Amino acid sequence: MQGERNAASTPPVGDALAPGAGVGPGSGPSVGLGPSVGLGPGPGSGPEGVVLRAEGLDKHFGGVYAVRNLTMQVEQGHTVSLIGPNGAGKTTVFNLLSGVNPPDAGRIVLAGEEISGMPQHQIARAGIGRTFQNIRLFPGLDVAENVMLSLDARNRYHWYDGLLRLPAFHREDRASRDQLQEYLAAVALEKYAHSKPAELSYGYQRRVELARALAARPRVLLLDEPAAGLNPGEVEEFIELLERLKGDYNLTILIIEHRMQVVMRMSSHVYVMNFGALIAEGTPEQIQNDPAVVSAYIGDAHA
Amino acid sequence: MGYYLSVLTFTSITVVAITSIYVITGLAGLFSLGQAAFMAVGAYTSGILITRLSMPFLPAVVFGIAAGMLAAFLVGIPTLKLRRDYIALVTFGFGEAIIAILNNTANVTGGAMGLVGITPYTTTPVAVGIAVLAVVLARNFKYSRFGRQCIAVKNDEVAAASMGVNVAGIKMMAFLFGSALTALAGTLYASYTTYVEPGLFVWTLSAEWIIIVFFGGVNSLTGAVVAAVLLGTLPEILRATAEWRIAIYSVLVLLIINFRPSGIFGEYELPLWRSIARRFRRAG
Amino acid sequence: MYFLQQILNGLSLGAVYSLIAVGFALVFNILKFSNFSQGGLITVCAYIGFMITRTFGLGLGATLALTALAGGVIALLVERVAFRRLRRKNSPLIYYFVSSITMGILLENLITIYFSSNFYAFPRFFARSTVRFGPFFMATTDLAMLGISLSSLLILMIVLYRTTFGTAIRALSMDMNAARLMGINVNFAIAGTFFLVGVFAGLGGVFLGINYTLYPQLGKLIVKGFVASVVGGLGNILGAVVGAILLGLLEVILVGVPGIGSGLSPVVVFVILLVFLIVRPQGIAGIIVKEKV
Repeated sequence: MQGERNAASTPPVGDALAPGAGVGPGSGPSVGLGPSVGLGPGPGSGPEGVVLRAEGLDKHFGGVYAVRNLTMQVEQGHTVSLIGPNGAGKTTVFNLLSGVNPPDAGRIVLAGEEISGMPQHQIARAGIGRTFQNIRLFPGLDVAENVMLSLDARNRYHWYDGLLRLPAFHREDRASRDQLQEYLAAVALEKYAHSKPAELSYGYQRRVELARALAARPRVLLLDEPAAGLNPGEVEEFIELLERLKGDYNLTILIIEHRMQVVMRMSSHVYVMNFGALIAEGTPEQIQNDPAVVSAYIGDAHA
Repeated sequence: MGYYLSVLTFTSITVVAITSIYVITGLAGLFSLGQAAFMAVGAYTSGILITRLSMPFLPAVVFGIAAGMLAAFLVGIPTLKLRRDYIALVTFGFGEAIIAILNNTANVTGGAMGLVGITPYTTTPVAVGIAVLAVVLARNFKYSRFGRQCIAVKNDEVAAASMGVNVAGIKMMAFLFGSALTALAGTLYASYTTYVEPGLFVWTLSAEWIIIVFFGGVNSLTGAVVAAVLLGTLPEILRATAEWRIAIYSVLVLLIINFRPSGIFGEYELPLWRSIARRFRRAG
Repeated sequence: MYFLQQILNGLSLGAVYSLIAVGFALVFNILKFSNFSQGGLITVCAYIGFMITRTFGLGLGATLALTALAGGVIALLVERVAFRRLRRKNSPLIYYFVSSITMGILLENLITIYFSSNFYAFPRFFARSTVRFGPFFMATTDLAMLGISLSSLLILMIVLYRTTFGTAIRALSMDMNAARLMGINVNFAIAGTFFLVGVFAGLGGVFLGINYTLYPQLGKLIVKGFVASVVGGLGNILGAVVGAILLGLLEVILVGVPGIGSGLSPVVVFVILLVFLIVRPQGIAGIIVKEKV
């Protein structure tokens, strides 16, 4: 446990732009996404293995299908985008993947383990981390405590350790606080550790949410419109931050985004949804030139 | 002198009870309208063990706390997985059920006449000491991972669960811990007044505790304790009648909820309680 | 024969409970919180009804009508003082809880201050105390309770399902923002709902006062409404009525069971409630109202 933690907590410093350089749309590694890719390669999945796979997901609310027969997968170390017009069902997909709602049909496999049907907190602990479209920080906790919460899920001290401040509490609490500093530094928010989320700007709140999701060390990080509400300059900054974190923490990312700027720069593979179903998938260039996508998506793409 | 000692003792018992409400309502955001009944469970369990079995104080207190926690567990199992309304509605029913049991088992509990002749083990130093202990435990809880998880769950259950928090589990923990403190207050009460009756533990007492916590500030343990001391002691000294006292608190709390919902103390905590914060700053 | 007689009594008791449960469900249906001020409202109404009969010497019908009106007006005040500002500020749920609890306690204590803790009793409203149907006997007040409760519930259903106001209320309960966008006057519809809640508190208060005599803690009988609502499904009005009738029947039956009687029946009801919640948490109506996702 201790060793595992330390392994992840040694980010190379001072390479803000370097990792991003190789992930542009033109130079992305070729992604073997044919039907030949089998189901979960098992816990020991290599760097190119499928880490998250959803098969035949259905979800309806009342009589309306929000998601219909959706199959998608994310490979280790890649950034995959999920795009589509408003109301296409993208956030519902995230809610299914992260267990907020159980799917009506289909299954979700994370690193060889079926997670569909598990309670939400167990799915989170199994390695699905996420952010929310409308930032959902805990207003009653300060920035540091918001991030601590993710670290807490891995702490193992007992209630009596906490109540009586026994050595186990101090040991784990100290370790958590050291890591906390690291995650706050990763998003450059050390100065705001003791601010309440409401006191921060929108862009900073996004970064806190990112730090909180990172601190849980997810196998797959789901980002729901992380650049929404940011101005163009901030978007550029945010992309750089994400690319740097991706390199530092070896992240695998599934991202919902409306900004084509983000989608094209970051992703190696794109899924397009409309009316709850997939209508196309491929590399960013393929998607950009797909007539079905253009007709479904036009008018929304630059909103 | 004896009078002031008695006020001090009663205030200490109130502080223990209010601390329990702070944990349940202030931290976890749960409303228990039958919490006074958990006090009754603690008071009667210890009282009966002391009077009928001549048990010494300490084990009687332990059994009283255990009985309170067992009751909380039974009430919590079906309700804490559901939305918050259920625990409030069901604890109200629990309160009525406990009073009905106490009234109808006269051969053990003394019925409506009450249980008399409990040995007066609770001295003023014991009460004050336990009040301090309860507050320290609640403060430790607040600044442990469990306290953070409680606040997160109070703020946003879905977001908390997606950070790996077992929502029903942490609610249960807060409810058990809180009810243990309430039952502890009950054991102290029984062994101070030497007499308990069912009519003491009606739902209005539970509601009054909630009002006091919100008066001080639902997010501040400091505020809850100060409010418990002030609102628990002042009227005693001013000899105000209970009805007027509670009516005035109610009006004040309605004003607070409407115009300053964070209560008098907001999120303020006494600096010495925020040792964790200081350590952050030292590290940063 | 005895059994049928008991069922009749249970129905009448359940009908009164359903007045309480419906008042609770109406608020939950729209604002999605448990309105604990209703107990205090019922207490106040019971005393108002008592004052009306004592001062003017009116019959049951006129007393009920005036009390219902007074209850409606007080409920409007409660909404204004305790909830409107919270609604405007979009406050978290816990503030609605504490505001309604505080309001309930305040109303109850105002009654205690004014009337002290004495017990009062309503005068007898009917010259003949029982009515006979073939082999069955029924207390006249019970019969009146059953008849008046059922007809007021029927009127409520007509209001909810056959009038524009009712449509507005049902639209609000589904989606308050959408209703606002559709041009529904939200404040007016919510105030109207509270008026209805007050009317039901007025009827329920007088009936409970007749049944149990008057004392300031009468409002704790709201627990009957809670149990009925949980069994029926939170916020579901028809479910609340069904739950209340079942509770009334159960209580009447329990009173006849040796070893339980009226004293321990709250305990049995509570245990049944816990078991029911484990088996069927969504209630009879089958809807689990989740907190906003």
